[in-house]
Amino acid sequence: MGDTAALEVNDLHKSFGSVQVLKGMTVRARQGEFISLVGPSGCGKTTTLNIVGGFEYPDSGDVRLNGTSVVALPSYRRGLGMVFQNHALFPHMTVLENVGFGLRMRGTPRADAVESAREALRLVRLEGFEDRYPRELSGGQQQRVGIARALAVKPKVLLMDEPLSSLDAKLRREMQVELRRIQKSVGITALYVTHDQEEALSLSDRVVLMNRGRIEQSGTPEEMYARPATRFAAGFIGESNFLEAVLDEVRGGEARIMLATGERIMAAAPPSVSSGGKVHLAVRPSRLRPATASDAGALTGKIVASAFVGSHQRLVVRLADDSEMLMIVEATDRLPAPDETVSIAAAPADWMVFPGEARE
Amino acid sequence: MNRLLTVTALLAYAALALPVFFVIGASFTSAGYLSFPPQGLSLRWWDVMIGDREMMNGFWISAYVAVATVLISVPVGALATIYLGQIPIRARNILVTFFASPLSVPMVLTGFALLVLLTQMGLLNQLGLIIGHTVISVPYVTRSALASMSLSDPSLPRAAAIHGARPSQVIWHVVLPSLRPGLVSGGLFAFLASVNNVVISVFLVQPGTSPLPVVIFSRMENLAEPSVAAASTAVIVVTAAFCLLLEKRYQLFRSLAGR
Amino acid sequence: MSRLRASGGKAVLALPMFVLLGVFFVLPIAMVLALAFKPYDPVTLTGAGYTLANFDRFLGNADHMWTMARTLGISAAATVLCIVFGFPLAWHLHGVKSGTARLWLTLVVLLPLMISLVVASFSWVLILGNNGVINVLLMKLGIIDSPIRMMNTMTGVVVVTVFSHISYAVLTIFAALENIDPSLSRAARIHGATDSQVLWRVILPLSLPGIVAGASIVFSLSMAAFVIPFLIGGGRVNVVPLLIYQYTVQFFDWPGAATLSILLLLVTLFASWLLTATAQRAMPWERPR
Repeated sequence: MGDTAALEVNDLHKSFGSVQVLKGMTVRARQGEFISLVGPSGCGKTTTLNIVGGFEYPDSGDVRLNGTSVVALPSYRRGLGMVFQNHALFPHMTVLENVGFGLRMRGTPRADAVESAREALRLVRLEGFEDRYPRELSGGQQQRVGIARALAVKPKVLLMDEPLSSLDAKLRREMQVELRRIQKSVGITALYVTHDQEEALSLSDRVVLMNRGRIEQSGTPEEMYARPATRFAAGFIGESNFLEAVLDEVRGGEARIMLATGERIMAAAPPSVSSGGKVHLAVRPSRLRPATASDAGALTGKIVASAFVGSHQRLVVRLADDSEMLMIVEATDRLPAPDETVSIAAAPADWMVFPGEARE
Repeated sequence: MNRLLTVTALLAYAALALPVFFVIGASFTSAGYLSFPPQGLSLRWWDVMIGDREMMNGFWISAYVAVATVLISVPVGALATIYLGQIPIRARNILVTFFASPLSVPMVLTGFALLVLLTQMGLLNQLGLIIGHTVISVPYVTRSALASMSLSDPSLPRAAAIHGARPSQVIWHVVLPSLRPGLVSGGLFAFLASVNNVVISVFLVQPGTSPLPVVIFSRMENLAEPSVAAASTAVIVVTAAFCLLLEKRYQLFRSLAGR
Repeated sequence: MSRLRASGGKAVLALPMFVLLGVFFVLPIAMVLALAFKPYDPVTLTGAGYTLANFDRFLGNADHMWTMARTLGISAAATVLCIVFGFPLAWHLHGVKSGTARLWLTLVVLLPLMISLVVASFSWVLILGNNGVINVLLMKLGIIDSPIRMMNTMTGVVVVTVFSHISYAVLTIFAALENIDPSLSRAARIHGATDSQVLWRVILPLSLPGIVAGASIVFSLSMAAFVIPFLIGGGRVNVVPLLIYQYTVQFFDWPGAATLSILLLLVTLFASWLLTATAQRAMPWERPR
C-alpha cells in the first residue's frame, strides 16, 4: 500500500433540488501537493470545496483526511484552514486576533496562540501589522492576513476559494507567486478553486478540469496544455482554434485530415475514428506559423485583422471557407498588411483531433 | 413647483418641532394656569412636580419598567434573529411576519387580551406590566437586528467555523458583534416604546403603581396644571438627551438618514 | 447525527421568543376570540355556553356602527393627509445634500415618535384650545372675534393624529425615494421632461411602495388610536378603541369588549388588505416574476 493520501474525495454525488451538481467526483492529493479545481461556472468545483470544508454534505461519497473519513464531522472538527474570495476577515478584531482566532477557539493558551499567530504573519510578510484593523489594510494585505489565519491552525489541508479573483491583475500575479512560495515552504496540501485556467496552470502541481459535475481531465499543467483529452479541455485550457473536418485516411499512426476548404493536413491519429468520420480539429494559436516547403499540409488564407501586443502579434487569418483562425507570432518589425495572403501550417503533433460527435 | 414643495416642507418641519417647544415653555410659567406663551417665568411648577408623589413615582416606575423591558427584549430578540439567519428563506419570511405581529395588531386588543390573560394568571402587577411592554417592544429589536444581519458578511460565520469555532463560539465571537448596531438601535426603540406606552399600561395598571404616561393621562382628564407640562418637559429632555448620546456613540440617525 | 443535533440546537435560540409570543400574545388573543362568543351576564359578567349574541348586539346597533364609521373616517382622513404632507417632507429631506443638515432634519422628523402620545396631546391642547396659541394669535391679529373651536371636534382629532403619525409616512417614503436610481431623473430630463413631469411621471410611481407602506402603518395606528381621540376629542368623539375601553373598565362587559376588539381587528385587516391590493394593481411593474 502506498502512503495514505493527505486528501481523498471519493465519488461525491450532490444535487440541489432537481439539479445534479456533482456526478461522481473523485480526487486524491498527496501530502504537499497543490491541486487546482478549474472549470466553467456551474461545473461543481465550489460545491466540491464546500463539501470538503463541511459547509455542504454530499448525497453520497466520502471525504478523507489522512485516511480518516470526515464527511460526518461538522466544519469545526475537521482541522482545516480556508482562504475566502472576499477575505472574510473579522472586522471587529485586529490582525493578530484574526490570525490567532482558530487557536483561541481550540483553547490554546493565549501566549502560545500569540506566538503562533506572529509566526504565521511572518510567513506572509506582514510583521508589524498585528494591531491594525482589517479596514486599514489594502486588498492584497487583507488576503495575506486571510492566508496567515488559515495557516496558523496548522491545517491538514488548505482550502482556497478563488482567493485572488478580487485583486487587480498585477497584484494577482504577484500574489500567485507569493502563495506558491508559502505553500511550498510550509509543505501543506492545498485545494484551490478557480475559474481562471491560466492561474491554475501557473500555480498547481496538478490541475483537475471539471465540467458539469464530472472530471473532464486531470494531469500536470504541461499535460493539460499540450495533450487535452477532449474538445472541451482543448477549448477551456489555453486558447485554441477549432475547425470541423473529416478524417480521410489513417496510415502508420498518422491521419490525413481534410478541412472544409478542401485542403489537407497531417496529424496524429485519434483513437476510435474511422475513415470518413467527422472530427473536431484544434490547434493552439501559438503553434501556427508561416508554412515552409517541408510542411506536409498548409492552409491558405487572407489576413483580416492584426494587433501588435508588445512581445507578439495576434493575426486573424480567414480561410477559403470563411472560417477564421487566430495566429500568434513573434513580433517582427513589419506588421503584415491587411488582405495579405499567407500560407500557414503547424507540426502534425500540434494538431489536436477529437472525435466528431463528442458531447461538449 | 419645487419652490412650493420646499415651503410646505419647511412649514411642516416647524409644525413638527413647535409643539415640543410650547410644552417646554409652558412649564416655566409663573401664572396659576396653563398657557402659552407663559405669563412670566418661574420654576414654581417644577417644584410642584417634584413634590407630587404620584408623578415622581410615575417617573421611577416608567424608568425601571423600561429598563427591565429592554433587558429582556434585547437578548430574546437577538437570539431569535440569529435563529432566523440560519433557516431557509421561506420559513424565515413567515417567522419574521409572526415575530413582528404585535406591531400589526391594534394595541387596544393587545392590552385588553393581556388584561384577560394576566387576570387569570394572577399576574396583574409590575411583572405583568413588564411582560406586556416586552411583547410590544421586542418586534423593534428583532426588526433592527435583522436589518443589521442583512448588511453583514455571510462568509464570516463560515470562516470562523472552518478554523475551529464551535457553533456557540461562532455566535458569541462573530454573529453577535455583527448584530450590535441593530441591537443598540432596536434597544433604543424598545426603551422608547415602553417609556411612552399608554394603552397597554392603562389596561394593566393597578392603583398606586402607574407609570408616568398614565399619571399624565389621568391628570389631563381632570385638571391640567403646568406641573404636567413640567413632567412632559422632563420626559422630552431625557429622551432627547438619550437619543443624542446614542447617536454620538453609535450613529443611529445616520442609518435612518440614508448616507 | 451531528447534523440533526445541529438543527435541534438552532431551534433552542428561538425558544424564548416563541414562549414570549406564544404565551403572552397568541394565547391572550385567542382567549379574547373565545370571549367574544360568550354571553354577557350582568351578574356573573361572563355567562356559560357559546353564543353569537354579542355580534348581534353590535352589528345591529346603529350607534355602534356609526362609531365604527367614524373611526374609519378619521383614520382615512389622517392617512390621506399624512401622505399629502409627508411626501413633500420626504422629498425635501431626500434632496438635502449636507450631512449635518440631514441629521438635524431627521431628528426633527423623529421628534413626534420620541415623545409619548399623552405628552404630544398635551402640547396640542395648548395650541388648539380656546385659550391656546392659535386662537390667541388670531384674535390678537384681529382676524377673528371669538375663538374657533378645535378641541373636542373630529377635526381636532384628525389634525393631532396627522401630526403625531406623519413621521412614519415620511420615513417610509424617504426610504423609497432614496432607493430610486438617480440616473432615472437624469434620463427623463435629457429627453425633455420638465421638473414637474419628472416628479409626476417618474418619481411618484416609483415611490408608490413607500407611500403604500407609510399609509398602511398610519392607517393601522389610527384605527387603534385611543389616546388622541380621548384627550383631544373630550367625550365628544367616540371611536371604537374608546368604546372597548369603556366596555372593559366601565361596564365590565368583557364579552362585549372582546367582540368589539375582534371586529376592529377584522375591519383594520380588511381595509389594509384592500389598500395593498389596490396599490399592487396600480404597480404592474412590481409584480413578482
